[in-house]
Amino acid sequence: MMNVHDNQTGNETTAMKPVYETGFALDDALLYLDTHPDDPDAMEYYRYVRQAYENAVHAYEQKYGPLMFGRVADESWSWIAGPWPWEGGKN
Amino acid sequence: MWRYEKRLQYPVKISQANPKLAQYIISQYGGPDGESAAAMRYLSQRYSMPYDKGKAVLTDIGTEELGHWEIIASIVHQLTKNLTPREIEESGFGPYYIDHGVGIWPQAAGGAPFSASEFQSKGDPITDLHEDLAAEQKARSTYDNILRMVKDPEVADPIRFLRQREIVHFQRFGEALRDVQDHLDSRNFYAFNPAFDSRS
Repeated sequence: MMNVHDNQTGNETTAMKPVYETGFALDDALLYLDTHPDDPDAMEYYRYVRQAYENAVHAYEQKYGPLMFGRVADESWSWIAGPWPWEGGKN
Repeated sequence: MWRYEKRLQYPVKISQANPKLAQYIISQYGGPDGESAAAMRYLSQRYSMPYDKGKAVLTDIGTEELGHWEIIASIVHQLTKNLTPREIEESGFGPYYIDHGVGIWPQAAGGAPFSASEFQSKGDPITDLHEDLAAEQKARSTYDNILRMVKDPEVADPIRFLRQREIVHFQRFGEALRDVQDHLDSRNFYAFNPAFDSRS
């Protein structure tokens, strides 16, 4: 049982990695664009990382459940499923 | 308004408890240069910011600070798991433990409770942005101080991420300040307060 759990955690971590990476790229692009709203290269970068982030989130959520409550797609309310982020979940 | 994204901005996975370190790091949760003061400062200052770039920067950095506040709480939470009374006593975590158990409460490393006196919202965009630039540097220094005390790479990793963000935020606030000054009279930036006076 322990091995199965470890295995799932490992896969979940692998699936979260691109969410973290592209999510961070978005956070950083956001602040740059706030002070450089007319930079076409930054806009192109934003469109690129936004798409990569959406793809990464979609791939993660298909297997491990919603990262935002508005994307609960299960029969029951899977939003409350732990472990929560501060407990080491979704990491 | 805000909706929760069920993840941290940067992962926190700490396997080794360390209550002494938790008591240092909690300062960034509720101390004088901590993330709670940062979020409240920027999200409060935006109402008297007259220009769109400044409004966006204050809103979006303020929002990111809420995420940093959560990262700090997660570090402290994971550093205080499965403690024995003996570990609590020997590490010096006892005074915090008596008042809060292993709950998360905003205080400085020395025990002073979080206070809105840690930040200003002055109703003057030049004044506020100078405070914001100083706040980012003070937080960066605090992270430098913390990093000198941390040996565990699982703790140092997210702290280094937070330290780097202070530097990026400093840069963005500098750009916002320049934008404010570009709207004003270059011969005297202080001729009037654009959040209050009308130019005439």
